[in-house]
Amino acid sequence: MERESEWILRAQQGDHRAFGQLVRAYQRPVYNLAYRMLGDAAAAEEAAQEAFLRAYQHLRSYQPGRKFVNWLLSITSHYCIDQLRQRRLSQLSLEESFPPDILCSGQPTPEQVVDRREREIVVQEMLARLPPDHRAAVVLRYWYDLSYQEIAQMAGISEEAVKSRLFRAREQLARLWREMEAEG
Amino acid sequence: MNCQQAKWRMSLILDSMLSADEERALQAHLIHCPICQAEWEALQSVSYFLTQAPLASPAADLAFRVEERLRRQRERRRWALGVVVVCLWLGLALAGFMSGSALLGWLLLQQPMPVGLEIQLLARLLLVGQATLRALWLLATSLPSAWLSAGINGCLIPALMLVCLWAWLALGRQRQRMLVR
Repeated sequence: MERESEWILRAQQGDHRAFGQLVRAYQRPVYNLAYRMLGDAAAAEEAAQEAFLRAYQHLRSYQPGRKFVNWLLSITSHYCIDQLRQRRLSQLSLEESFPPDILCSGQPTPEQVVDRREREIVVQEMLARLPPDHRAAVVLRYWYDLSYQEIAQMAGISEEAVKSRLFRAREQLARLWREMEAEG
Repeated sequence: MNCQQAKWRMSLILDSMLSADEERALQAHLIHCPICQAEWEALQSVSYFLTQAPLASPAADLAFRVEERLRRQRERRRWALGVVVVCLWLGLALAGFMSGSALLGWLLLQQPMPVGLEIQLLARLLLVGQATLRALWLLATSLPSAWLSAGINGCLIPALMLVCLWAWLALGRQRQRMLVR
């Protein structure tokens, strides 16, 4: 944390290398959020870069009392929601859904690789059916384990609105799940 | 508890946001309601499925690319600043040149001269003014961005107009003096 504060301070004074350290430290959560929101690796890469550039430009407005990673995720989430609204992306193709370099640790067996791919496609397909705001709430809750209060702060809404978004998103996800089970 | 309330609580229980009493009430409802029981199973399955999906990893050079874009941005900003400084200096130099020329012209006009010479001087001043305006226009329109052009025009055109007005008034005064004589 001390190193993070030092990097932030130096980056605020225009030190690109210090900001580079922050990028290295938080590239994975930022990229993952962009990937879960946008659904394809190339768009997620671009979104992650853009989010970091925006963070650098607005670094002076960062308040030290707030968790830095949450601040970054907030920027990423807003950017991705804007992108989705612009693109009106309602459904992703299966080819786009799978990033080639996702999550492999150790040496998985071919069966494990296939299983991971299939799971990944299903996750992205389900997320893609959700409206952007609901998708962001689900990703922040499931992948980052953020509290209602943190999600509310990031999205600029009330905690009740977060509960409502999660409730509606889960309702939709459960319906999709049952449909997929019925299809086999 | 009705089914809608039960569904709302199912979402909350997944985030550990229910009290022990609320949980018990929900469990009691689920035992007697097969529809909500099916919903609850689907919700649990989908939640488990999502929690099992790990963080996606970016390409190894993401940080490098961000740093590279920041570096390019900084270079572009420096270049733009350089252009502004050069344009300002150029503008000041031109304004100085124009003011100096006008002052010289005015000093010349203070000297007694035949009527024909006054007209010749006026014609030359107009020619110089026209050439300068052309040069300024070319400079302003060849600049890379609109706001730079606007800046140049905004600074130099009023300066040029003032100089021309000054020269015109000086000529008028000289002519009046000559007519009085």
